[in-house]
Amino acid sequence: MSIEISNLSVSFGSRPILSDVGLTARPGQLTAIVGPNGSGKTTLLKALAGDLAFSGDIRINGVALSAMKPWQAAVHRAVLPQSTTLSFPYTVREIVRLGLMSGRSGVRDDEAVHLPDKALARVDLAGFAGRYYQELSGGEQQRVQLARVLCQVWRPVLDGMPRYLLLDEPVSSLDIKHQLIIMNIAAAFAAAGGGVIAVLHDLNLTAQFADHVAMMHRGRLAAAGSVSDVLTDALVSDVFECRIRIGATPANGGPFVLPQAAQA
Amino acid sequence: MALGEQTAPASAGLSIHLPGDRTARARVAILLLIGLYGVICTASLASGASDASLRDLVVGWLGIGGAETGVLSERDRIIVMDIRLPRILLGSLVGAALAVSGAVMQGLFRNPLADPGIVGVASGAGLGAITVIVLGGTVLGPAVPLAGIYALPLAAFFGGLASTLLLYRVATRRGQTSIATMLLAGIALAAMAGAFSGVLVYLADDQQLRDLTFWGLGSLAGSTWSKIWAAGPIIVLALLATPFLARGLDGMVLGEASANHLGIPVQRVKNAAIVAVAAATGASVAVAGGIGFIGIVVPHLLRLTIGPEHRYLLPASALLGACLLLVADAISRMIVAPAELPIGIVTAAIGAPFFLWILLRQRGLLDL
Repeated sequence: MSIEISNLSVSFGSRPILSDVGLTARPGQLTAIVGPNGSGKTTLLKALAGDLAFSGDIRINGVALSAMKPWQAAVHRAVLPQSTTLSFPYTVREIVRLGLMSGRSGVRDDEAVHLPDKALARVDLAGFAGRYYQELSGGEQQRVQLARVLCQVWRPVLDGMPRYLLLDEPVSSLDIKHQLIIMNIAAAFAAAGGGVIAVLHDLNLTAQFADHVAMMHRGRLAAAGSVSDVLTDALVSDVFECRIRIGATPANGGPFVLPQAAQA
Repeated sequence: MALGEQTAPASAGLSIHLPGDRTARARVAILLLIGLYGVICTASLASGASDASLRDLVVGWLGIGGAETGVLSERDRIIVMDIRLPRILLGSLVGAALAVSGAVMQGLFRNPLADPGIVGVASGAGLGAITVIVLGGTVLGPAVPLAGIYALPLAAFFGGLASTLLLYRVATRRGQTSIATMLLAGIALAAMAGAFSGVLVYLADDQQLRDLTFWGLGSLAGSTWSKIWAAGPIIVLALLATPFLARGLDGMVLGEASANHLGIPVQRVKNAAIVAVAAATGASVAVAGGIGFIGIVVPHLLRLTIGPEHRYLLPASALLGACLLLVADAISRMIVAPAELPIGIVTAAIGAPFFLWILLRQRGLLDL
């Protein structure tokens, strides 16, 4: 039971975007995909989500992704895109309710009516159900989408099978309070037995929340392992092409990255 | 979490009001539209050049008071049964088809400006129809009698289908539709169809020319039962298919990728939507010509009142589309009575300013 990626390659035309990536994301863990701009992080997540043609093998809980129908894949994983704009005046509730469409939230039908409200409360948007989506700020829209995604896989484990959240830069447009709220939701989902794969830009949030880190570099997997294995002076300086020293917090020795410590 | 756990029985889902939930409002609106449609139909049935009154109609129909009273003369019976009734039915079918086509197409393109009339689909359907009218007697001689009364709607359907497919291919890239590309491609498509149509018009004889001119402006005059039998089944089938698309179209508002993540078979929904739009547009263009703007005005008004969820938007569009076209038809008959104006002129005169108003309101949202 996990998401297993092996020999994954993606190319647009003749240009290779991902080459021979192998990675396993386990339930109970938050797997962070990090790397510089253009390193293939988002492409990797899109391949996992089933948006792109790829060669190689992706298995979700043992079943090949390429053999899954859309509604079968929808039971196993939910995907948060980077941003979503709408051209019609949907209310927040109408958008969040779309997450219930696959019918496998894992709650009883009578509870499902109130699930959008619970999900909105989780993302700190209680009372927003009646607002128009288009009138919200970018960060609020992003959290509405997360509430929708949470509705789709509300129970992290369904019928004994772990389910997965695929998050593409979930905190990129959020303030620090909401960054922490969202990262804690992801961590709680993993702690409850589900799996989380998140593309993250912020190495400090990665250090704080990730159980497993995959570092991408020019379409290849440069390193994968625990936070302390991957966030090292040598790897970070090499992959991000920026000489940087990783600090260690006095409390527990957890790594952190201080931009001020970078040397040109 | 204790706060979130409601003690109220959740089965009382109908009585509780949830903010942002417009389900109840949409249901009421649909009931009101059904009532409105009934009123408009009755009024249209009873009004016109013949002075057969509503009471006479009902009495005559039910045979109350016996045949000897003769309230409904044979002439009136013909006027009602063979002129007014088919006109109302055809108007309803065409109005519903145009409004629902607009709503489906806007959902498919994720864009409130997509409308078969504006983006060239109706022009493609028109080209198909013109081809049959002009070449039906000569080049297409053997094929047309084979298809019988369906030749015209079928040709319009294939014309509409070809242009919808072409438009989608040009305007949509990796599941995202560019509004600018869509509108520009629509202009090109309409111009192309116009050029071919122009060649055919050049070839047409006098009688065909008269048919073409009248038909091109859009009109419900000359509604006959045979037109209803030709276009009705195609439109009804297309309309009956759309409720099955509602869920898919709701998911598609998030984009094709997100719809796929929600478990929607995106490609299948797209194919079905394109065929339904082409069939409904094609059949109505074949029998009523170019009636514009119904497909853009109706769904837009409804989204403002009952919200954009398609399971309510689609049936409500069908009803309001039918109502609006019947009213426009009444106006077209009254404004220059006893002659009548082609209905396409009326809908364009009302619809075009409305379209400009939408553009004005949504300027900020258009990434042109």
